[in-house]
Amino acid sequence: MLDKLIGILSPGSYEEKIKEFIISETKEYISSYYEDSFGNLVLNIDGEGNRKIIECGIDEPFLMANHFENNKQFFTAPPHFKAKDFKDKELVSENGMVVKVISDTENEKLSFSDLYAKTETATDFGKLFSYNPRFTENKRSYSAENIIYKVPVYALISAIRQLKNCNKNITFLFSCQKLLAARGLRAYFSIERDASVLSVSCVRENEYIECGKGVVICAKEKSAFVSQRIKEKLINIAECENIDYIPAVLSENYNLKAILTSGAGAECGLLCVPFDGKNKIYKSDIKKLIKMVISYCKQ
Amino acid sequence: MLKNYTELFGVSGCENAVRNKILTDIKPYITSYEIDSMGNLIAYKNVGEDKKTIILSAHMDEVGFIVTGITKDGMLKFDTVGGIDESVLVSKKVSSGEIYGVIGIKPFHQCSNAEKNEVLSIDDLFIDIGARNKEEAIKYVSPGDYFGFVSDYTEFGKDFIKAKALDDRLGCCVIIEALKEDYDVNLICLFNVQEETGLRGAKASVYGKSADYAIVVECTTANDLTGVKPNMMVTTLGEGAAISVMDSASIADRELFDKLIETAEKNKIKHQKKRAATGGNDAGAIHTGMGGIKTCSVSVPSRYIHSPSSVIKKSDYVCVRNLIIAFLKSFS
Repeated sequence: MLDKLIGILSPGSYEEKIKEFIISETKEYISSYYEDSFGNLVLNIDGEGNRKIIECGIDEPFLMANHFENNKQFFTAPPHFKAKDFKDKELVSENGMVVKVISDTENEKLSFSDLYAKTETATDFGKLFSYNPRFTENKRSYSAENIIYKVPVYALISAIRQLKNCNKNITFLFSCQKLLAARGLRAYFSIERDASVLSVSCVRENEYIECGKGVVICAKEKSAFVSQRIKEKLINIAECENIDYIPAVLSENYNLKAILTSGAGAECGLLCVPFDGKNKIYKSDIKKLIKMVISYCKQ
Repeated sequence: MLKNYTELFGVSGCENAVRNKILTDIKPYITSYEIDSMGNLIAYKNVGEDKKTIILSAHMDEVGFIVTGITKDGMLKFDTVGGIDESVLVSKKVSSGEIYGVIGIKPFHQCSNAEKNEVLSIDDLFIDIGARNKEEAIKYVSPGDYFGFVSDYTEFGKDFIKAKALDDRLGCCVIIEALKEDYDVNLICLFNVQEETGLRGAKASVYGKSADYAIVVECTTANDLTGVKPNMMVTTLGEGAAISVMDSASIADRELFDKLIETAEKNKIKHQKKRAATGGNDAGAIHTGMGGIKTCSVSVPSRYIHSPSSVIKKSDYVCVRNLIIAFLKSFS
């Protein structure tokens, strides 16, 4: 299923296909689903107890075609992305055209207006280009350009499929435009009250976080402190069920602030799976992530 | 109408004069209104609960200055309110509504070579209100007082308008004109405060509002000038209403975007797509408000935006007005 998911491109605001895929993979395991007016996909399992929300983003980075001249396709992009992350990358458009992004400018000074792709075919203004995934798999790991945006979705779908007889109130929130300052989350939580949220994401390997060593249970990210209650619950689950984990303080922004401070406020935890510099994620870590989510839902 | 509105004083946080005039002008055409605790004016034109509801939004405020201190020699030190390029400020006439002044700088011929090569900073500038010293200045001005640009409304060339505060008094004017017509939809018109300082008014004004669509009527950058790379151009003067695909703060809802394009084409209204993902406006706050609202911005292109001499083409303003009215009429 992960290879299919990776092949479904979902640049921010163009998430329809991935939502269709999520629904098709989960509808027989859930009580109900709907799309809110922002476009977030909300799946509910009905049961007992206070409703828990499990959340992950469904979008991925993109460039937007904006000008074509002399066989050069130029791009624009929102300020949330970095131009250097696209240089020398292969991108694929909404209609399947593959291009390689190049630039004559050095990385330090690079802006989106410096990026272009050589092509004879002009793309309509406004069409979106995402990373060409180039999925690979070996015995121990998966790898793809966009894998870090798909594994959380894969983990939640897998968890839902194993929760058929779970008698708890759970909502799975697949949020749109999460990479764009968490707009989908801000919309959803603008009217949600007293929520308890577990956010699922990926984290880059560093000197404290190593791939293949289990899930990462976060105490803090750049912009927010996570809920101590949820963090302790996650640690308790990991220890009771012998799931390897790494407690961590993260220096990057995972948009938890959008959940914690929107609407009437909410408590939020963060559970991650590590990836390395080559966008590789260990299968063993993904299995542990799924097991953690399932156990958290059942508690 | 544009002349009257652009000449009003309405720096972010001091929108009273603009709000009062709008209220006077729209009262005959609305069913009710409220002014919320932030100062946003919210006008309703209801036709029935079974009808669709559309939000039209524009902001009343403009960029300006706030006095931060007074020097011994009676000059006012200030900070900007909203995004202003310091390089447009020197020698500009400003006013607090009652007190007039000119933005000054150390004379060029008294600057060292090093100073001449430095990038202009707000710290180098002051407002000269003609006071002889601090004691005289504090009789008229206190830290915390607001100043705005003073600039006449002028029509020039073929169809061009120069004025201050076109961003976004022209959005207010479009909505006022639209309110004069009747439609088969409920209208919620948000006249927001403090857009220029972080979309603050819209975050409050949209609270509790439920709508099928929201259209933000704005003034946007037109950098259709010599020396700008074609792929950096945002909009072009004279090419009609600029419909946004994406900016820094929001991505337009595709359904609404398509409907606006379709309406423009059907009614032969000149339009263009806003091309670069720059800037941001109240759509950023509205589209994530109240669980999410389908939102798109329609703008009049403006050269030299956020300066005392913003320039638009009257024909573009007419296109935006006609597009908004045609869109609302399309629901009948």
